[in-house]
Amino acid sequence: MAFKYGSNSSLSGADALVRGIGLFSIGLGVAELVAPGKIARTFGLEGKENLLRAFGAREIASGIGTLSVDPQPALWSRVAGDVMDMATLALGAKDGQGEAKRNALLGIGAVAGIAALDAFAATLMAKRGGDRPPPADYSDRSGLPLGLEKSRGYYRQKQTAGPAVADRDARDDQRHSGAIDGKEAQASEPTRTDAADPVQTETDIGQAPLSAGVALS
Amino acid sequence: MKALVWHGKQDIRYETVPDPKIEEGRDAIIKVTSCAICGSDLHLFHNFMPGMMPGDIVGHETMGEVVEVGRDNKALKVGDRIAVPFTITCGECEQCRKGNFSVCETTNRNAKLAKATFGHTTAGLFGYTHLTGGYPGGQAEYLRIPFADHTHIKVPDHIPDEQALFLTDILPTGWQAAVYCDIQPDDTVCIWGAGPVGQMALRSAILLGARQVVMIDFLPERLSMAAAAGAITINPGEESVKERLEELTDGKGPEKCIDAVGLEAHSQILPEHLYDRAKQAMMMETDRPHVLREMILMCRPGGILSIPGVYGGVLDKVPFGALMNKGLTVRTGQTHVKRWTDELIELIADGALDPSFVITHTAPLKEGPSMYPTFESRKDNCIKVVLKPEMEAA
Repeated sequence: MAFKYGSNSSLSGADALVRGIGLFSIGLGVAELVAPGKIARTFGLEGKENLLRAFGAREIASGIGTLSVDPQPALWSRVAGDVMDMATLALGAKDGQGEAKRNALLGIGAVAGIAALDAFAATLMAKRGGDRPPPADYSDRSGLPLGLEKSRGYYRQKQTAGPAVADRDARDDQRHSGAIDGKEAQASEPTRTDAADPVQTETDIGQAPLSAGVALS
Repeated sequence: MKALVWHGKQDIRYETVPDPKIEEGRDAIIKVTSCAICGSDLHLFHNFMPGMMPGDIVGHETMGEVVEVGRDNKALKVGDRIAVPFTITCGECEQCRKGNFSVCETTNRNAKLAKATFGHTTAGLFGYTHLTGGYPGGQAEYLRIPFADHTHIKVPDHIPDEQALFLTDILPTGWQAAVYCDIQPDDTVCIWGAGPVGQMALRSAILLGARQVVMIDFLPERLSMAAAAGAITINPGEESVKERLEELTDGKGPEKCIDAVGLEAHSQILPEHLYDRAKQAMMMETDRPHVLREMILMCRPGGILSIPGVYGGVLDKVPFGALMNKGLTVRTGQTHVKRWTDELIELIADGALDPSFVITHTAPLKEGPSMYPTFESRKDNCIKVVLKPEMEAA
């Protein structure tokens, strides 16, 4: 699928950068896993193939994290990984000869650039969705215009105060639990006395699965 | 027309798409006046729900004015002002007749796909994956409503959009969650997640008479909104949920627990969170069920777990033994929106409930693509976004 970045899309340029980093990370990780020998020779790291394989697994894991919906932790973990890479390449620069030594030095420079890019992307992701202002105080938004005390139990009181309404709702309870129409619902239709009982209100949706007299075994 | 269109993970675009047309006799088309971004839209935004296709129009909280009606639709006429339940319902099948509207047997036109995934079909939903019918959503200038002679809520003129819009989803979802708790006057109800559904569930629990409501969330602004309706708040980043709940309930735990978080929960326990994130990233589990685990362990034996939070697939490390041995009752499901419409309109009309309290951001539809990241990142103190197609950009 083609991604589109810009004002008509929820994806920004920062998202494009992060996705690029994530894909690069997975690609590099796969290369380190399948061809550690070649990479070791290139950078003067012979004998460290298993370390390179481990780095490959790390790159793939951080790549998956970078492509996730919350890439910031993975990007910072990449920065830490970049430092490990630079330390390893420094060994190649120290012990390597000729072209391998030169490659290791170039590699250190490249990884330093990638580390800067990772850190920059992580910073951009911190700003995703805008700045985080101090927490707002929504304590004036109760949504209960009658006030808390009058609201508590308002619906229950209203139902118990009006028998006709309670009758209707009790029938609805029967309907929702499956006992619709027919004699069963008729027979158990509540009387006015039932409706006045606060235990039998609309809130008791779903009849008790077993009546009180039924034993389980 | 213009609409918000899904193209992939975190990729929502404001695009021109073909105008909807009447396709069946029971259809209607509305001109959208208000729509909202729902928390469950973020599951699509994050591509955690299977079955989305590039080009799908998103949105399932929508209201507007009827501009065209199908020939068999006798319930609506041009000019009617309606809110659109997010569940598409026929009103005729066995489940609809029982009031179980969210599992309508008729309206999911991809019923085979749903059956293969869930064992049975569920109702068609607007803008919410091809598992639920692949119907175009309502974050758009116009919306075609299938089975519109049943799938609508007529809005009284005296109720403004800002109050009526939430009859489509979050208000009945919060209400259903509270009703499912079978609240008794001496109950403690604990709600995980102070997002829009959690906020509605809190007000519902109060109106249904709960003695004490506890709200759990990491975000101070959400907790302040919860405190405004009388909740005792817990920030798991600052204190132990277990210790505080025990303190508030004489060590017994809350009788009723509501999961208003769902599949993208964040755990305050880092190893647990990393475990779930890693498994989810590697597609070894679809959902992060931290809240469900915590709820099962915190709830008082014999209590009720009510789960309005959306789950999509397979969960890992859920302490089912505790659930069984504590004798907990689980009630869940997508919302049977129309089952609750009458009483909610009555509460609004009585002046007992004003659901507009939850709106923190109102923006033109055109700004939808930038409002998704704002809502997603919880930046700018964002709790609920309402989009208006006709609103001018600032």
